Amino acid sequence: MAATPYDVLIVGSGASGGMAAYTLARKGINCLMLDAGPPVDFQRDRALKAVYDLPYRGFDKPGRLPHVLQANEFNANVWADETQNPYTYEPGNDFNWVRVRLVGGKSLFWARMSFRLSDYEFKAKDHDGYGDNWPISYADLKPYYDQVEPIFRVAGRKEGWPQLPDGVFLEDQSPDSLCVQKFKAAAAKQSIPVTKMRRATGQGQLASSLNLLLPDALATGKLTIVSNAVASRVTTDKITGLANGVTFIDRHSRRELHARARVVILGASCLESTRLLLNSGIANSSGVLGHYLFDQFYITQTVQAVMPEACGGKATRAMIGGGGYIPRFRNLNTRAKDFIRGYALDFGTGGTPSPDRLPGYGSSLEEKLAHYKGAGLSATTMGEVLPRYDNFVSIDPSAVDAWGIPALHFQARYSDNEFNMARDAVNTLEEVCHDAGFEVLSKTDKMFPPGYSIHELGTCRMGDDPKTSVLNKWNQSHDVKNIFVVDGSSFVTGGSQNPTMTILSLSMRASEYLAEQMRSGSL
Amino acid sequence: MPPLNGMAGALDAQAPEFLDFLIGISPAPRQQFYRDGLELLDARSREKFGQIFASLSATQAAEILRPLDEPWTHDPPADPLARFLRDAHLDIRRATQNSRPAMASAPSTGRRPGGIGLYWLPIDPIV
Ligand SMILES: Cc1cc2nc3c(=O)[nH]c(=O)nc-3n(C[C@H](O)[C@H](O)[C@H](O)COP(=O)(O)OP(=O)(O)OC[C@H]3O[C@@H](n4cnc5c(N)ncnc54)[C@H](O)[C@@H]3O)c2cc1C
Repeated sequence: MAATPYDVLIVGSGASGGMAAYTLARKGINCLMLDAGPPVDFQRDRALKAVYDLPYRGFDKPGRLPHVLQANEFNANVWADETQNPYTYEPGNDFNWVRVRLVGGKSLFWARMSFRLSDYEFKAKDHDGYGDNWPISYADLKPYYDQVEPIFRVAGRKEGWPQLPDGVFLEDQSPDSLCVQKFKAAAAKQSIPVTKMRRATGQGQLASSLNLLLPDALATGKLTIVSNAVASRVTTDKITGLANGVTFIDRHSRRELHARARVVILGASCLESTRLLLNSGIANSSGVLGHYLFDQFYITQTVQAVMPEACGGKATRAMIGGGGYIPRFRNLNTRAKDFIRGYALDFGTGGTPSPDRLPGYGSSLEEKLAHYKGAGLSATTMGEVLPRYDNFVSIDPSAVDAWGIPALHFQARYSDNEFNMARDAVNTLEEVCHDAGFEVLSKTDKMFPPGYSIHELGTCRMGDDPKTSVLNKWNQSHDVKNIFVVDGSSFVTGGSQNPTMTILSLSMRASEYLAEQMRSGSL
Repeated sequence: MPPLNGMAGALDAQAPEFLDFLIGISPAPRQQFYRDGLELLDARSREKFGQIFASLSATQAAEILRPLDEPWTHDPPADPLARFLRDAHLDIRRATQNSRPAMASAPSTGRRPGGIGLYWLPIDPIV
């Protein structure tokens, strides 16, 4: 492999790396892709089982994945093993770093909620004076969103809202249940917009690089995928300072190998790409590599409510069911009292409230659950987290992974802006529920620890000034011109929208730029 | 979790034995939480009724379990017994519902307790 002259070496086969391969291979560029994980076979690797046949009755092995709150005993084997892939953080300031190390990455399991960012994010500083603008605007990325959405077959409803630009959707014309209509009407009284969820439908509910990107790239004959290849550092030429390849370790044999290429693209996921650069000791003349770590704070079941008319076994399909999405509505044309930016809400109706949050036990609890069956509404708050220099990752010299590669140390905490925003979210939602005539059973404004949303962003941010950013507006390293970082680490702000459509669009845009640079001989 | 409407209860589901096993292999803080909680349960029962929890009548037990009737709050209750009861109650409920007897006794219509799902086998694990 070392002798094969690849044009481009891509680290990571998830959404970001997959899109780079898709774009470049179809332009005739010879790509090598390394992924730390094994390939997945949905037939071979899954089996139907009853929960009582699992060794821990669905509780999973205690202590196995303490930071993956999304894990259960059915899916525990898909998450990166926390013992083999350790990381550290300050005691009391947990970070829930949720990783998938398989060919296809997290795109195998994502919830497929698909949104565009707007200039409220790209030009956030112009709007409220905080932080930095991106070096690009919505108009720069729009043509790429327009191409990505049809590949992922995103369904949604067009609304014409400036804070949540419409896309190239499969039009969702499904009717709203009475419960959703009531909720929408109550929200409208407070000028809160509600739309259908926007979701990638992919093929057979799988909208992954594995089925939507990599097959087309492989079909060109221009892509070679090496699985079980754990990249440890990017190597550079001593004379030119340019990257000349990547050192990696075979996951099973632990043998160290090296692959050469003219250009290196990192799409190992936000924090893994940053870790690779930090461990390589490059691309950090700005000193901001690792800094400005942010995500979106999540509060699941912010409010649990029931629709009284649907209680007592009266819930019908026409009455209750389906859900919706409330995009950011704060700080657009008015100013909230004690926070900047905003939050989004994703709600569902027609479920049964969770027994965890209801008082009672034994027969009294079971009676309540039977009464509320199918009559519930519950919502998740997804709030913008301000990018701050003080939230960062660095290399922890005392911790290494199973392959001897130095691990990350996290320093991340939320601030009053996020806490105040969360309070506003729960109060507003409760009010809307009351206005709609629903009974609120439980509410909380307590968010999960940072990382829980699995939308970690920043740490390798883009900008026009090489003194304050790691990448330029093409996702290209300011310092080492033949390194591109195409995952969420390039984000300058994240808004409250789930990030993957933006990651995919940025990766496509950067790859097209790279292809043009290679064609013209500039790289 | 008593047997209700023909569904298996916690004892039919051998939930106590299962939880004994589960807590026995859990990280030390969880084991301590259970140990302290169970001791507190007996201490509170003795204080109020002069006997350990297992010997109480249903009415007496209900008195000790009253914290479970309080409305849910995100932060765990300040009273350590209330905290323990909240966690243990959910564990017992889940251990019961996810058991073979509970599933076998579930009504044929409606939700299956525990249920059947797609289980991911270990994928090319490191040996
Ligand atoms: C359960 C879940 C639900 C989600 N829901 C949504 C949603 O609804 N909407 C949304 O927008 N986003 C969602 N996300 C987030 C979304 O999945 C990610 O934003 C996106 O997949 C990130 O893609 P990526 O390519 O940057 O990273 P990844 O998908 O993590 O891919 C990185 C790849 O790099 C490989 N890798 C890592 N380190 C190395 C190394 N050292 N050497 C070689 N290879 C390496 C990994 O094996 C992996 O395959 C969700 C995620 C999860 C897990």
